[in-house]
Amino acid sequence: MNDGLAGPLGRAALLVGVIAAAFGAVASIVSARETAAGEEARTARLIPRFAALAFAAAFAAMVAMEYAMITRDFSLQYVQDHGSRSTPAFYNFAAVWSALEGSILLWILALGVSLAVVTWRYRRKLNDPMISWAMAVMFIVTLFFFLLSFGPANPFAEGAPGVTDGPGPNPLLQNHILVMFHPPILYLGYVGFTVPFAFAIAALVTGRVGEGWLIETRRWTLFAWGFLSIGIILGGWWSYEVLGWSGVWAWDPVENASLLPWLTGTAYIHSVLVQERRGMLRVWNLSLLLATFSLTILGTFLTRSGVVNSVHAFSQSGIGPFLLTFFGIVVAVSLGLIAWRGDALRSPGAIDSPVSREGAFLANNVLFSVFAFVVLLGTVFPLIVEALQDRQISVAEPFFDTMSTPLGIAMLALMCIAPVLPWRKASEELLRERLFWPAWCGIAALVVSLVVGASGLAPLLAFTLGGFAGGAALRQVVLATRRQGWRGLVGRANGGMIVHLGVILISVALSASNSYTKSQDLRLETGVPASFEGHTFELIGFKEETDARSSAVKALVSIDGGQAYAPAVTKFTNMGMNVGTPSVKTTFTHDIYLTLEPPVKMDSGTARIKVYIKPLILWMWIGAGLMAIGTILAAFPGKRRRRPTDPTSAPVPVDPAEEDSERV
Amino acid sequence: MSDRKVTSRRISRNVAIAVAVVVGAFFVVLAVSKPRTDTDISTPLLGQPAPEVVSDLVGGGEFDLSRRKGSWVVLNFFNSTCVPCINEHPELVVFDKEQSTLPDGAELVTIVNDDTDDAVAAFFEKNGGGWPKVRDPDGTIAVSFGVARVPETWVIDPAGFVRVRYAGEVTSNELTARINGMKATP
Repeated sequence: MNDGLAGPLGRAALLVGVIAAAFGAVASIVSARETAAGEEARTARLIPRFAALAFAAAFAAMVAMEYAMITRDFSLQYVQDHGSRSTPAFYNFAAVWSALEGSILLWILALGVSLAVVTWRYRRKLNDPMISWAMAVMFIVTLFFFLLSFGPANPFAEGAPGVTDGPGPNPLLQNHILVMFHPPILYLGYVGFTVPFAFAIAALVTGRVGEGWLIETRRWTLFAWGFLSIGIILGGWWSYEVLGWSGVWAWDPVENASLLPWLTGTAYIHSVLVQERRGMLRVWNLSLLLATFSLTILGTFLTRSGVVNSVHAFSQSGIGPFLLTFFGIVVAVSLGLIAWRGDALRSPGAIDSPVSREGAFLANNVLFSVFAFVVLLGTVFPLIVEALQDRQISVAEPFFDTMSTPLGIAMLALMCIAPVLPWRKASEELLRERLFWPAWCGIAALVVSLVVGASGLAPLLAFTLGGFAGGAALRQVVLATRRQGWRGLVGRANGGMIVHLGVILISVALSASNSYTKSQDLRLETGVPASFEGHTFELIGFKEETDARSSAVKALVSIDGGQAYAPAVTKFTNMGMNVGTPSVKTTFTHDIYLTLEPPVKMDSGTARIKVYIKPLILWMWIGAGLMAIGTILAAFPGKRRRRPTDPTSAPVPVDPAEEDSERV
Repeated sequence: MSDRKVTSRRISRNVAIAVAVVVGAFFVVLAVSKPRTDTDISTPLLGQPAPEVVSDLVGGGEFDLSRRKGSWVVLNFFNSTCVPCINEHPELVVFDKEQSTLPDGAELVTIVNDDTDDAVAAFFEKNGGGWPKVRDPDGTIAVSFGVARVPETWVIDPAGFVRVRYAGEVTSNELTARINGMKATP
């Protein structure tokens, strides 16, 4: 039973958080100024205390919210709106982040964790003005979110008295285990970009862009990027397993909001290598980090202010103006610093030849920036039209598909060539030699595709380039492991190639499933098998399952005379909402995806079953796994990593892995 | 050489200023964007003739939407067990009462979704509301409108065209204001 403690405790925790973050920001700035003036940094020792306090406050607020949800404390508005006595414990736990106020709380917790980890990591360097400035930025961001939660998006607001039960979370959010993981992982990605952003601002303020900050931020960015990637893919998986339209991505504004920082973040983790190696693109790299963080805030605004139509629409709230103001401040500060400092900090040197690894990274950056621009334009275009002409339009899949197909193909093409390019300049002979096997992989992929009956220009191009790019990535890994054993799997270049392999698998799987999915409505009668695309489907019967929150009707459908799959329609009585749940048979070559179509009449002995045959879907999830593994391997320190970044004038050191590939 | 240096020295500043102008304009667009009410949602039927609604009434009688031309009709898709439907019911009662006093008041009609006659009759007996309740035994009406979840409230104009679709709870004030607005600007 609840004791009504959660509300006061939660509000108190948020207040402590506001105070800790505000004092932490002040202490960090004072400390930075002291050390910059050459004084002894006496305030620096306060920073860890405020960081610890802010983390503790964030953690306590989350615990209080969970406590309220678990004990069904219906004195709180949030529990009244999103809790229910009949929600199973597991989904009840996840219900805390099923709506706006609670999701901000989760956001704060992720920020608190980053704050604590950064403080711990640099506990001996807090005297360094660069670290102090970075801490100041992190405290300010944390302060903003604490204020948001303490004020306009307070999850601990008291509700109307006398309420004893609620509707529970949205039925779509109590249907699959992934709701437990998709939001927190995505938020770790979003919030993770705060750390590189803080270091980028600190680098601009202190003017130290040539060293230090880069090493500190690259791995943070990699982790944030990894979490964001996995979070996005888990979202696609959830969509596939729960929503019943058999797709993973719909170019919905909220999806786009997560893709935008992913694109600029991806551009950064590539172009930063040029800076590490050649000392170039310093200001550009900083700008990418600033853009990435700004885009995470913009995405948060777009999805939580209700200005765009979205299936993810959070309930309406007054936090839009706050987020927009914060976005404005972040962009103004970033641009101001770039305008003030940028020109003085630009690195000397130019790219020698476009056919070189740095040239390829630059091409990569152009592609990713253009892609980000296209996605941003498509997402906000309806708003611009509405503001200028006062009419509503929507930009939908055709626009995004048309734009993303050539960009995706170009990215795959770049992935074929870029990994074999040497720094500075490549000769034709060298290229011919290094591209030999990858090109044969591409041709083999094309032949295999044609043999299994693939057709269409875009998918065939994607398969061929996928094979080619896969060959190029494998070549690097094979050569590196042959030379260095297990060390040939770790480090930027090798881990990066594993990520490439994952991305290639996902691209091929997406391309195949977008191009070759077949579907049909089958009206099945009990005991009469129907066939479609070489499979037979037989309705065995119906099963009804009822519990306190819902009643489900499942149609038992045997595929090819084997095991029965059970697509269902579940009626959530509290919400008056019918939710279809697909049932999927997965094989290595294709998925058989079944949905039960309403109206469902059990006594009639017939059911309308929609069948989708979707090729290669499993490889999308395998690719995602490879991406995650590759990211971890890439973050693993290689041999060269502990050296400080050399100045541009220093001779180019040779990467052992690369040395290897150059000798072949 | 020195010329080149001067121009190249300003690249960051100039680019930053250009970006600031674009983002500034974008910021203004975002700032003036009106948040959508999340209950007012789109449908391909907006501005199109309403689908056919011909069925029996709970408690006897027949209903045909096409015969209601000349009046504003508000269709409320309803189920007696759904919590939002129960919550919004008092608002509908107020709305119906207000409209019935007007010479050109809107007609409120409930479309019963997946519910028994007895349950519906008992619900209205208890909570009030004398307007017609249309039976939709196999969900044909709900499917033809594309109703996602109850309650949904649709406003049909006197010419028989779909004008508004609300998902979720509506209030009497919102409905009245919206219909008056549409009456003023045909």
